[in-house]
Amino acid sequence: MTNSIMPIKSSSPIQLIYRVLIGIALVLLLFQSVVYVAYTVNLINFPFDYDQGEGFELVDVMEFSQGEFPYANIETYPYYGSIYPPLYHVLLVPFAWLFGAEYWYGRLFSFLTTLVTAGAISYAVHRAAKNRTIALLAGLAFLASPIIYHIGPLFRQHISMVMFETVGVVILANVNEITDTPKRRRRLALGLGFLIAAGYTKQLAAFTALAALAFLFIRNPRRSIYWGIGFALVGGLLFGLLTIATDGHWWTQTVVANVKDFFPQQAIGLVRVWWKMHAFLIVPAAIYILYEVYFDRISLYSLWFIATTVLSAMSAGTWGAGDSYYATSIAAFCILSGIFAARTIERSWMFNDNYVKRIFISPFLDYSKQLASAGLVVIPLLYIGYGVMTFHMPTSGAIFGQIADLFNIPDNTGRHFYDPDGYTTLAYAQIGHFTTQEDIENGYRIVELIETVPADVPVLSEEAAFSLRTDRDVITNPVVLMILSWVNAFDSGELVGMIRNQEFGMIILKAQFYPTDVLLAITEFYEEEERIPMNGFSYMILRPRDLEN
Amino acid sequence: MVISSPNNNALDIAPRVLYSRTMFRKDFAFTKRQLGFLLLIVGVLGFCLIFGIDLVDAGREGGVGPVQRVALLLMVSTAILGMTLIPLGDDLA
Repeated sequence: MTNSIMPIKSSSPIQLIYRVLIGIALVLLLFQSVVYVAYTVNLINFPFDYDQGEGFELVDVMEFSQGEFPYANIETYPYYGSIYPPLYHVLLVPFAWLFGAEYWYGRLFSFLTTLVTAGAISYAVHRAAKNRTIALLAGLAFLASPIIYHIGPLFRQHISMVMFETVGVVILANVNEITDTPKRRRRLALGLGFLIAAGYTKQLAAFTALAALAFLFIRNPRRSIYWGIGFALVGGLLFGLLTIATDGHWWTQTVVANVKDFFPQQAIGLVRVWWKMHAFLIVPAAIYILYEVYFDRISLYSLWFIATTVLSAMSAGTWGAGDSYYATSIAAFCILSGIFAARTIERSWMFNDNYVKRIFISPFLDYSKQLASAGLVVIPLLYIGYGVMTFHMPTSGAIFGQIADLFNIPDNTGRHFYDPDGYTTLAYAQIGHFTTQEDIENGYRIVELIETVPADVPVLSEEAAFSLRTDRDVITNPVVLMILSWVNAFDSGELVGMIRNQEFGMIILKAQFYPTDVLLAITEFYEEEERIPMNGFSYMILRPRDLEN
Repeated sequence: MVISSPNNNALDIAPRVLYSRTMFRKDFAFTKRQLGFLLLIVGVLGFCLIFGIDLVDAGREGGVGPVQRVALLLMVSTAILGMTLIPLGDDLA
């Protein structure tokens, strides 16, 4: 036996309250989208690294554009390697052919992938519960999360992975209901294809693949085993080919270099941030999962949310990880909370008769009409609460400055930007603020300094942009060297030798993410000339030390 | 069509979840009860395996680490979730 809560009249005064509140929620989340677009435009016009490592992703694109793999021998000149899979970079190769080594197209591409992801979220919510307003809010909620905002327009591969994951999951979510066998097989191939694409964009997509295979197993073990074998064969074949084509460097750099130390305090801090900012939508998502477990069929969205949240939360505690590891979890809870909200508005809850219903639902059935009315108020309030807790914006500039003054929104980051965390949590990305003309000028000041070094003398720069802007070799990918040195998979002898021989005309340090012996050699054989601030970082300019005096 | 009988008692069904050929039929889908048993078994076995890492790997130091504790908690949660699903019978999972 099933029960559904009966609808209330659409002319009820509560409907008016609902419309006003949902309007406020829409305005709040749409404003966050405006901030997001402004941030994207700002970054597209910034010609240097905004986030640590963007330049090396651009170098990977340039390598692929010349038919080379970035997974090379890191122990010989130019000591360059990459720890990321190739798909994002390969997709940008046509832009590299057309426009050369530029940041804007990678950032624009990433931004567009977030729009596709938001669209997929909205589509999934509408398909499941037929409410366009809530579907729109669910998509906007994804874009409004500071975690998505941070990395959305970066020249980094992570957010493209989230797009492939989300589209793949949305395709697979209803695949078992397709009775036409050829059509179902096409959908399965397409959905799993997107998950392979996600995995070859960034390794974290493995968590989504696990959830998808678990879902297929619960719904039909036989089908899941056949398709799981095919999935593993295609993924494994690509992996094997890349390992062979790169003489094993693909394996060393994408697997060995990703085994890093775990810091519990970092993981706990990021869980707290994730919860604090998104609790207004995490709670309804969790309730909806419980509903599916006890009263409905368990959806792929539920398994996806559980798998990516738990596994990403643990991965986020590793060195070099950060809040971005929750991006996939955010996409999942936006869908689940959206379905929860739409079903509440549409009053389409159904409860099978079982012990859970008798304990938790039956006592409230007499109040179903009042609960339905309350739902019309609570649902928009959840989105308003979410909008408030995730609120972020610049606090200076022509329009944003006036809005910040009007609502007394403080600059809590020291960079003319209000962030809900205030850049206080360990490993929470300290980005989101806008770059300034002074940042650009200071970046070009570093470029000018490099141009004082003769063209045939190499320059060691921790940020690739300066080498790219001056048409010099990009020497080292520091983080890769550092991580591999931790697991004794990098012999720095040749690089240290170049430093000791003062073969570099200039060294530029940013975060000093080099192996310890490399940093010690730099300290011994080079001296600081000046520091140039850019985008909140202090770039150290070092020249060879006079060893004779 | 779901291959399971509502008259089977829980203890009778448990081993069939893992060993029965019916699981690999074209039209098989897990029921809540079967999934409950599966989760219970996974939770209990997972807990024993994770806890046993220290017993098997004698060279390890520091006892149960933070990741291990989280994993143990997850296994306990999985087993408890499985137990709550068993009474739900033949509803599709």
